[in-house]
Amino acid sequence: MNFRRVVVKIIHAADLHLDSPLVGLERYPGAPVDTIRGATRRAFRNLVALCLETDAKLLLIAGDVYDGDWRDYSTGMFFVSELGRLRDAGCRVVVVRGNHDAASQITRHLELPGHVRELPMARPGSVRFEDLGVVVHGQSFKDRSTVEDLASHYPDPLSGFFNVGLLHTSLTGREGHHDYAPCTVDVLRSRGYDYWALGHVHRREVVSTEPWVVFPGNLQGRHVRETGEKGATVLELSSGRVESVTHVPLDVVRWEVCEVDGAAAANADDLVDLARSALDGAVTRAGGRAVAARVVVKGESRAHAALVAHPDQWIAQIRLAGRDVAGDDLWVESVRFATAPVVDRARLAARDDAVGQIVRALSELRADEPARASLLSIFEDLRGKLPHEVREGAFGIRLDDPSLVADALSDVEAMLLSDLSSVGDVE
Amino acid sequence: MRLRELRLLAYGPFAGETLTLGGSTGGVDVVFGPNEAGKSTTLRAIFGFLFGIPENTQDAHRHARADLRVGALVESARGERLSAVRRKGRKATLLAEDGKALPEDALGPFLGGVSAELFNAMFGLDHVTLRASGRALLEGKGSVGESLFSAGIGARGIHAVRERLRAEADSLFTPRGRDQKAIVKAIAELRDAKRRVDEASVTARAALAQEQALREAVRERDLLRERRVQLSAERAAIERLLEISPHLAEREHVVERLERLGDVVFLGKDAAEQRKAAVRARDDARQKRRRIEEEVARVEARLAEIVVPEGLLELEASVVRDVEARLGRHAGAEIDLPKRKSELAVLEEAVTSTLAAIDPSLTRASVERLRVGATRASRIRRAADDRRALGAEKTRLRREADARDAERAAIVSRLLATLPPGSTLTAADLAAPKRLVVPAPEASALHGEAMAALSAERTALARDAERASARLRDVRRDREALALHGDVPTEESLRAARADRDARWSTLRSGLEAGTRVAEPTPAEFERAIAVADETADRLRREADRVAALASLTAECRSLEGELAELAARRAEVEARERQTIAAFRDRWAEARVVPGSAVEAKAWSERFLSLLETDVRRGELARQLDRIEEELARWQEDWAESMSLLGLPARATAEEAVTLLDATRELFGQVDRADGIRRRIEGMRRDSLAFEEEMRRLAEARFPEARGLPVAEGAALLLRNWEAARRDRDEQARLVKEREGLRTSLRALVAAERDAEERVAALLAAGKVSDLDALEAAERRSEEARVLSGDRERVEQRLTELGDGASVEELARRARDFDPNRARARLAELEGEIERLSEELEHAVSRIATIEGGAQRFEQSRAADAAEDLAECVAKLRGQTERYVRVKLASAVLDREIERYRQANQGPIVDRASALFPRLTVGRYVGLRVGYGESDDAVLRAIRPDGADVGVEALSDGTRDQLYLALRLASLEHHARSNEPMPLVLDDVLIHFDDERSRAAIEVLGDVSRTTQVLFFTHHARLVELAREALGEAGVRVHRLGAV
Repeated sequence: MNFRRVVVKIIHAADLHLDSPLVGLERYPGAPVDTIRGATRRAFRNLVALCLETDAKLLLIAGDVYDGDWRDYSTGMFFVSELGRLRDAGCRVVVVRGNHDAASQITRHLELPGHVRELPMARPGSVRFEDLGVVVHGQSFKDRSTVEDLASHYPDPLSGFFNVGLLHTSLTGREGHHDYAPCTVDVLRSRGYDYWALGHVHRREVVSTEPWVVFPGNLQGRHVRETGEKGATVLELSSGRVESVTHVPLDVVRWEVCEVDGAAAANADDLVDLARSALDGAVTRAGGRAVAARVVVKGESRAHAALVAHPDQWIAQIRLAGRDVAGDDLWVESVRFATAPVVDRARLAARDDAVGQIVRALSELRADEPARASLLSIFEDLRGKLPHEVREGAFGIRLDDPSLVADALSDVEAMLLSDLSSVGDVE
Repeated sequence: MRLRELRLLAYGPFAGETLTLGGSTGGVDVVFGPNEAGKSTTLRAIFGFLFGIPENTQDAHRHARADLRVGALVESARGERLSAVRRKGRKATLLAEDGKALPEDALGPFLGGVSAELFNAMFGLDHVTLRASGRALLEGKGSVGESLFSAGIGARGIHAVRERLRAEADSLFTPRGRDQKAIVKAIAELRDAKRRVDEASVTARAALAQEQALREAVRERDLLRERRVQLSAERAAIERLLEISPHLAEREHVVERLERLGDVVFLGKDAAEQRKAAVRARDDARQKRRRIEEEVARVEARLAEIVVPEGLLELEASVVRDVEARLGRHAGAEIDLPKRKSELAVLEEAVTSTLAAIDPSLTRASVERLRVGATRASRIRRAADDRRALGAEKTRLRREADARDAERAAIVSRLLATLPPGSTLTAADLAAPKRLVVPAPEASALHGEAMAALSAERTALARDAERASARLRDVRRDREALALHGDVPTEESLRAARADRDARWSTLRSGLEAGTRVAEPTPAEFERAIAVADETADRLRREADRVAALASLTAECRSLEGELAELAARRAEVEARERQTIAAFRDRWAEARVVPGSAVEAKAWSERFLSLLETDVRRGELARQLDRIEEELARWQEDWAESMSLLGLPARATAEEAVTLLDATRELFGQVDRADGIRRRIEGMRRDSLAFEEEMRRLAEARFPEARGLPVAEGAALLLRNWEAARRDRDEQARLVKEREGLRTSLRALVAAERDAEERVAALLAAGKVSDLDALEAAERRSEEARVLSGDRERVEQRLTELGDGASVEELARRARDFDPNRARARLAELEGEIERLSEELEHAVSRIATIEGGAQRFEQSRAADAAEDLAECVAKLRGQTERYVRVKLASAVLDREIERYRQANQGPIVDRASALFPRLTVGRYVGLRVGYGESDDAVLRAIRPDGADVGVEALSDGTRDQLYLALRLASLEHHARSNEPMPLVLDDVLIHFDDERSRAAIEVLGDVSRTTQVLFFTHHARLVELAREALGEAGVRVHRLGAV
């Protein structure tokens, strides 16, 4: 058949994780609580608005509309209601379920409107759009952990159509993501499709352009490891060929890590100033969006002792500076002092005296895992009480893991050296 | 490391001062600086050199921040040396001697990794820290571990540090803690947030069930609505029929009545009104016509009565007014004329008498020449006033001239009387004083002053001379008194005696040499001469005072005599000047031929003379004024003579005479003129009367015969009366004619109106098809009844059409034929009940829907998602707290462990050494230390008394505890210095709380220590410098005096 000689726009998104919270934001006085509410919903509304604005004819969602353990059915109703806005504009929607959707209770009951097609779970399926000259192939996850290579069973391309493969996959593995529906780019290429619309990996990535293999990334960053622009990919077809592939940011809260060079600060006040300008830069880059920023202070710093001795005070100062910079448009997620003191640890360790002994003891602990493990007993009482939300996950604190002690040692050393050499508190 | 040299190149108040410090041979460096000498600055300089000068240094007052420089030479234990300069800045602050930058850690090998803070803690000690550290021993209950660790690291508060770490960990979490533990609280908050997420989440089953329930409720509601609509329709149909049936009955009745009326002539709705109006108009017009006709007849009768005398009316109004005016005047004259005549007679008499008073010779005719014009009369009066004024002025001037003459005579006589003797001036000279040259009074005054000055000088000289004379007298008296006690030997008399002696001896000797005997002098004489000379000499010596007094008196005598001579000479000079002055003064008066006496007299005379001159001047002025007055009087006389001739008076007539005449003639001419006036008026009246009579006669002849023969006033009055009456009649006649015209016009109109009305009545009769008005009324009533009935029918049918929903009246009538209202009403009641029940059910259905919808999750926003955000925030908070807990807890555990390890490793050697130092520092009060066990079985330090008993740290005095700490500290330093690079021990007035004995003991101990590690001993106190010298000897101590370096 002949392709119509008009431009067709297709929008490709994935990993909506509707109604999942932004993680790691500790509330503090003045924190802009309302600013970050409903971020994933607002980002999804932005996606629908983008479809309407660009007059897109097809919206592809490559899995993970919901968070797996999310039970609130209103999230599904919201999804359906937003998609309803596309019906009148003649924009159709094709969805595959991702690992999260497979686990979700919502998907089991939710009835999708007529212009939304969910591809089957049992076997791959195809949806033809004769008027657009486009066919979409794909298969939904049946189970949360789908580990077989789904793509290799996808149907052969349909001649005379623009063939799209819709797939939720980690490809050959991506850091921070479970390996689901693994496959290689070669397998994808061998299918002979024009465009692979992938999902699952939250970082945007153009894996290949011949054919196009694209992860659009998630719509809205949800924690500090998901920094930078988040959004969807706009695909322009003309006469059945890809004319352009553009990424459009749709996120409403931008995650940023602001690194501050502690060596540049003569004291802690200087450091607050440096953090202020780093935050200012992040807010400017976000172009009017709200920002959730982590401040990480690194390097050998004269301010180190002050920071370690009274971290709360300086964290509060930096958060205040953040409020100065952007008011309710900025949430300082956390402030990490990864500074080192300006001391010659090697020479200190060589000293045969009390200081040398402490420095040496800490060095030994770093190297001695059994010793570290034995130290963990002091946390036994707490371990049983910590809820799993704190213990588990990427940010989990594992009180039974000796590396916990290792991570904390540099701070401990700084605290002790600072305390032992404190001369300022004569009564 | 030892500091061998400290160069305060530019730091604080210093500029180039250098401290050369001791080397490895030991000895304590005492840096002595009284207050303000820069002791603390020097301490900061050492730190600045070693670790960098702080950003916000307080020592940049003399030198700019960028210029601050501290140099030093450091030497390591192994003998390595580095000489460098530290500058203030952020980078490259350490410079070599040649000014090139050194690596920032060039000092690292010398410092052994010690930071500024550690250096300060480990190797710096001041009395405050010492006291605090002593107290910390007490707080730690003498725990060996803490004590050794504290002394080893220099951190006085290791106990406090441990406590702080423990407290922070405990505030975050304890196993059995209550809610106030931060982590426990955060866990509870987290659980709470989680519960809220669950509560807010809506399950799919619940949502779907809700949807189903809603659908059913909606269907039920729709069915109920349908049923209610049907019943309502039936009810409406019945209600309509019930409403229509009475209207149908009414219509039937009306139609029947209309049929009964049969054929009817329809008249206009206002037919009766029209008929009544037409009849009324006709009657009205008729009545008015009759009244006007009567009025016309009345006017014509009146016109016939009026006759107008045309001849009289022909008289012009102006003529009549003239007659009227003349008649008025004629009447006035009749009264006035006699009064005027008597007035004239009186005046004539007055004139005659006045004339006689002025001059009996004057007549009425001749008096006219005395009429002078008003202008001239007033000039004469003014001239009379001028004459009086000139006379008065002349008298005044004359009187003053006389006064001046008298005054002059008095001055002249006084001048002559006061003329000093010898003067040749005469009265004749004074007659023309201007020609005399007399010195001014000021000259005399000046002369007087000069003379007074000279006199004063002379007096002063006389006084001085008198005083000198008196003194001279006294001196001479004293000298004579001195002489009275025997002559006073003088150098003169000695010289004379010696000369006498020598002369005699010479004579005698030449005799002796020649072997001749000389008679004169005899040896006795010679001997006497010797005796005299010796005696004189002796007396001179013996009576030296008297001699001196005499000499002094003599000298004074001479001096006073000299002074007196000098005074006499000066007096003569003054007297000569006096004479010259007087002569000069007389010369000036010579030309005036006056020999002046005293200056005062001369001045008085001069002044008087000046007043004479002034008097003469004034007198001359008066003479000139008198001449002018005389001239004016002469001129006046000429003018006056001319005026008097006009008045017919002699030229020499006085002013009073002239004025009297003027006053008399003014009265006379006033009377004459008034009399002439009255006469003219009488004449005028007579003329008017004659003219009026003539006029009236003429009128009577021509127009008004009735006045013929009547006196003029009566005739005129009659004429005026008749003329007025004729005018009135003529006006009345004209008015009536006009009225008659108006009435006739009205009459014509009324006749026409009457005719019209009659025609209208006839037309109405024709329309009603009747012949008289009564019949017409009956026709009107029938027509009205038929119209009302037709209207009723139309209204009823209209109503039926409205109610019948478009069905025709006939159709409705057909439908109603079988309708039974009673049954219908029963059915209606039934329907009402049914509908009410349905409505209630419907209401329930609707509210059920609302309940379901209200209870349904609103998916536009998810409360669960908000709760999930809260949960995420709780997790983050708890995570942060847990991380902090982990660190604090770890730090605490590590510290505890290391303190114990340190004790185990170092307790033996350090406690032994401290045990040796402690007795020295306490001067034998204690003999040593031992380790005992405290309440909780941990090792504690105990001090041993000389009797062998031991006490805990709590039993020690503050000072002794300080010394215990110092012993531990020094023992630790020595112990570690063996294996580490030793650092200088910097002591800042550490011995303030020590008495002299213990201070000396401490310094001795420091002397020992200095062999191991450099000791820099900073102090404010000179006494400590002294003690150091005593304790260590000159060789063992180097004193650096700040402010003197």
